[in-house]
Amino acid sequence: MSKFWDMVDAETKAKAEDFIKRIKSKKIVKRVLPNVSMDYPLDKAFKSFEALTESKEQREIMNSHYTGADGEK
Amino acid sequence: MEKNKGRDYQYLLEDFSEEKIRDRAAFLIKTARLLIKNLEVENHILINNELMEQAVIDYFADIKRLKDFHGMDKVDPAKIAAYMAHWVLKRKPLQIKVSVSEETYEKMPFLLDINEWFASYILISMLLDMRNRLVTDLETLRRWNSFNLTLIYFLIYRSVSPQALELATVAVTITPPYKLITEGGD
Repeated sequence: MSKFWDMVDAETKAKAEDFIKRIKSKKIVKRVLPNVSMDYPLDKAFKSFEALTESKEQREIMNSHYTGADGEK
Repeated sequence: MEKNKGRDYQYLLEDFSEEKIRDRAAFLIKTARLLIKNLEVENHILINNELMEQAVIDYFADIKRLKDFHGMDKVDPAKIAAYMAHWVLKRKPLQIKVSVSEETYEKMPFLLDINEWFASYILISMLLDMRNRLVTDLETLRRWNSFNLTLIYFLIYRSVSPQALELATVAVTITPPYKLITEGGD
């Protein structure tokens, strides 16, 4: 037992011990991110990257970031 | 006591496989070279291999923590694209050569943001197949351009986290099931 535990009153000790019991009983669970486990196709991603770097439209988007010529203003 | 005990990255090779980490490093180097070539900036930009390697290590270390916490076997494409783009952005492996002239910067203002563009291209191309356009209507394309411009602005000027990028990647892949309230603003 820790030095601090000796300073704790009985009611608080009961609450803290109950907390440990609930962790052990697996009643407290994580909320996890949605996810789909899959093998990632790096070859397709590379071809997609290639298409993006060769795209005239993407180049226009890049230029419009610096000129403000995006038609949105 | 062994030097660097518990601080090495051997566990990444064991968890993900040598092949996967090797392929990812090659992917980043190959895509960076392609970007440099297609933007015609070979004379102005170089790749720092150590920073590129660090981006790959940081990515896998981050994904390992994520997988362990959430009990995942493998992560989905949105997370792969978001975390990869984040670590590219964080490590900034593309470097401007010292000899770039003022005229060149005027002609190619994107040089200053080359890592942000690289991260943006990584994010988009790891998520969407840019060879296959599904929609051609002008309104959707206008929104796509708007997304692109918002994304690059975010990468350059905002506080970027992999979680924020993940949310953006998930959002960009949905077709809204409801009509927008309005296009206007205050």
